[in-house]
Amino acid sequence: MSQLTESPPAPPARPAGSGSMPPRRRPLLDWLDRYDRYILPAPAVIVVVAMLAFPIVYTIYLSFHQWSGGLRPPQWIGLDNFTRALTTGQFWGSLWRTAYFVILSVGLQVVIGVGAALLFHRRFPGRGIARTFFMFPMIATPAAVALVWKMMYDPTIGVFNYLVQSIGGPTLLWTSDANLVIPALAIVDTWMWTPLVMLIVLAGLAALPQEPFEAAKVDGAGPIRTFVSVTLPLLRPVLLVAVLFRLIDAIKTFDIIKVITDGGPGQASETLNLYAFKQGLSYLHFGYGSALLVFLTLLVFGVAIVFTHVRARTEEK
Amino acid sequence: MLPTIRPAVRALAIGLTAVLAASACGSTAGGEGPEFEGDTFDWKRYDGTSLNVYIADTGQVQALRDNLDEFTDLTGITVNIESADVTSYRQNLPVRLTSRASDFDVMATFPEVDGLQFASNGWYTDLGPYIDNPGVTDPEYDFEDFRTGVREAMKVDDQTITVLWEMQTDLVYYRKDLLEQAGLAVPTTFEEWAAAAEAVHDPDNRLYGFALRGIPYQTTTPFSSFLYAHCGQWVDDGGQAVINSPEAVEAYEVYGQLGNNYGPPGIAGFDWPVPSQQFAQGNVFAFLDVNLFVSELEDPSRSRVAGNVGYTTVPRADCDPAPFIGGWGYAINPFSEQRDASWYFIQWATSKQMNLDLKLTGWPSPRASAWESPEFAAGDPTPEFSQVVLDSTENARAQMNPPVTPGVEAREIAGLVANRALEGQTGDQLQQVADQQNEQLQGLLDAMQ
Repeated sequence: MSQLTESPPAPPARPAGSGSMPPRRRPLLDWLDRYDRYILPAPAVIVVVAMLAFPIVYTIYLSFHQWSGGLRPPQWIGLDNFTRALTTGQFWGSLWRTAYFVILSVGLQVVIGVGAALLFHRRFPGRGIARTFFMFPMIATPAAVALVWKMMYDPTIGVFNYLVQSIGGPTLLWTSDANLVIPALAIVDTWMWTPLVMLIVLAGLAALPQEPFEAAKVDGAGPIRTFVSVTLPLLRPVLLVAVLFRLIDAIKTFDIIKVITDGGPGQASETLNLYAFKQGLSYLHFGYGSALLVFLTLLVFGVAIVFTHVRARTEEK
Repeated sequence: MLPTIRPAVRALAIGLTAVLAASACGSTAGGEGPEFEGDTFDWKRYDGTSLNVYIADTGQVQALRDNLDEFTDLTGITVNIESADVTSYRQNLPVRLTSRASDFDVMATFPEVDGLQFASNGWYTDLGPYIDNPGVTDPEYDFEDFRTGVREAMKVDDQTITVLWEMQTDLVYYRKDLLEQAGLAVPTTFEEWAAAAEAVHDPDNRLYGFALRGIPYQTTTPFSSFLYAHCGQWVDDGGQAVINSPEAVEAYEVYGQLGNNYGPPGIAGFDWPVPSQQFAQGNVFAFLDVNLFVSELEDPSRSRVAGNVGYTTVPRADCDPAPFIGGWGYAINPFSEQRDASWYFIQWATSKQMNLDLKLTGWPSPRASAWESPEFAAGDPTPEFSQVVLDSTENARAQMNPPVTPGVEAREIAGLVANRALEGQTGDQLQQVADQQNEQLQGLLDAMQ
């Protein structure tokens, strides 16, 4: 073996008489050498962990306390904030409104997003420009978008009622009718985030294998049959990712609701996030507000875990 | 390696939490009253100091900024003003005070909303010792120039915690031309207002009879005038919530019916400036709200009804009218290290001259001398409005909200009944909402004990 490899250069011969001296020890440098992969990123890790962990740990800490921010320190009250939430109609109401808003808006986004993706997947003149235009809502600032929509929904001077009335429709109280307000907000969310779903689905469509489509064509399947039996099943993993992204975001929606309705009329659009915000920052019940945010976090976690699980099972098949 | 990192992360998290908790439990800030004790007043005593003023912009901030050089010339104190719109301000201020921020010295406060909670949290500096100390208060300041009702509105628990820069009170704004066309005299009761609103109400032509605020926590301001006129109270003398009493429910019903029958569509979602905006657009015959909209409504570039606006005091019902009186004022951040210099800023910003200057820009001054000054009287574009405001202060009450903490939550609880009434609920249905909300308000009262 040694015949085939080049032998390492021989160490320089020590001067005679110095052979008994041990090599110079550099304990600190050795230690740094050994652990450098942990030491070098440590400052960054500490900052990131503190920024991530601290708000979560502190929110959990506060959720077990009663505190209104005054000179008196937070008082430990155990699980009271959590039991108070679970026994309050307003909490369950806000949870129901969150679910209603999320299901409606994400449902609309998936349907319209897939439709738009199928449309933009085909080649037609001006496709690039049309795609770019379709992306605009996603780029806009939510608070600014919300202000514009708020004006458009105004029952007296808003453009929507002008359109509805010009075709003989009634005066609709978009954001001040308790039954209409959640759908109205879901429309804004849909307008804003459908492009994201479309983008993800477009990417998925581009990556689909062509053989199943050709086979379907040979078998004489029409476009609807091909979509239901070939495209949709193949798109399933991609769709699940899109739905997961949107679900997590929609549960946390805050800005557009805050600006357009502030939870109103009455409490008709007060979602869990808005309820927690009001309790924490408007009424200064920091403990109770934190407990509600813990519930919100658990909800998001739950949804994420369920979807990751479903997706893993889909991929196994 | 992971097991060795885990305890370190845990220790870090615990450490950080402990630091924050410890800082939250720290000692109370600052003492009460001025550090300087003496009887010679000197505007230059704090020459070279720099102050930070954090205030809500209710429309007066530009005028304040324009005059700041004058204050710096007078005192040698430089001032940096940080302003925010009212909603953001309301949300940020408590958070900053909770963290004992000392990066602002003077702050704005609306005692009717913040008062009880801020006082119990130790977030006010008692201004009484400043006002009474001749060493730190200009002999010409004349605190008595603020009328008794206004001085009451500056107090919480008998301590003066703020000096108002404005004086809000309710009144009714109406279109003179429409009232004349209807051949009616200026109404003085709620019934007469309902009749007048009905006479001019013409939704097909986008003309509506009466507008009010609709968002729950915004409604208590105009609703207080309805409540008092119907002999109702928020909380009775025994400390019990009574927003479900027959008087209060009747007041809620009158509020709701007036707005629901004759208001523009979507009235239950109206934020505070919307009634005035709709009125300025010529869509509304009358609205009841605070006295902050005059300069806007009388400006032809912003209002289609300029020159045609009538003003009158809030109506009466079974009891005499009692509009609220209150407003935004300056307070000293108790965590500030420059409280004496802060008081210099406050007394300059609320001085007779500054009040008069603001008054001349159309701002409702809390000082009697501003309203009575010959300079203002000579150029007053709306003497009718001035008279109404002065009349209103005669029988005003410094209480437009339930005297319950947290103020914003109490407003939301009491205001929800008005909101439901605007959506058309009446009778037993409304009584049920009032009972439910009363219970919640009582819950807050009990928690205050």
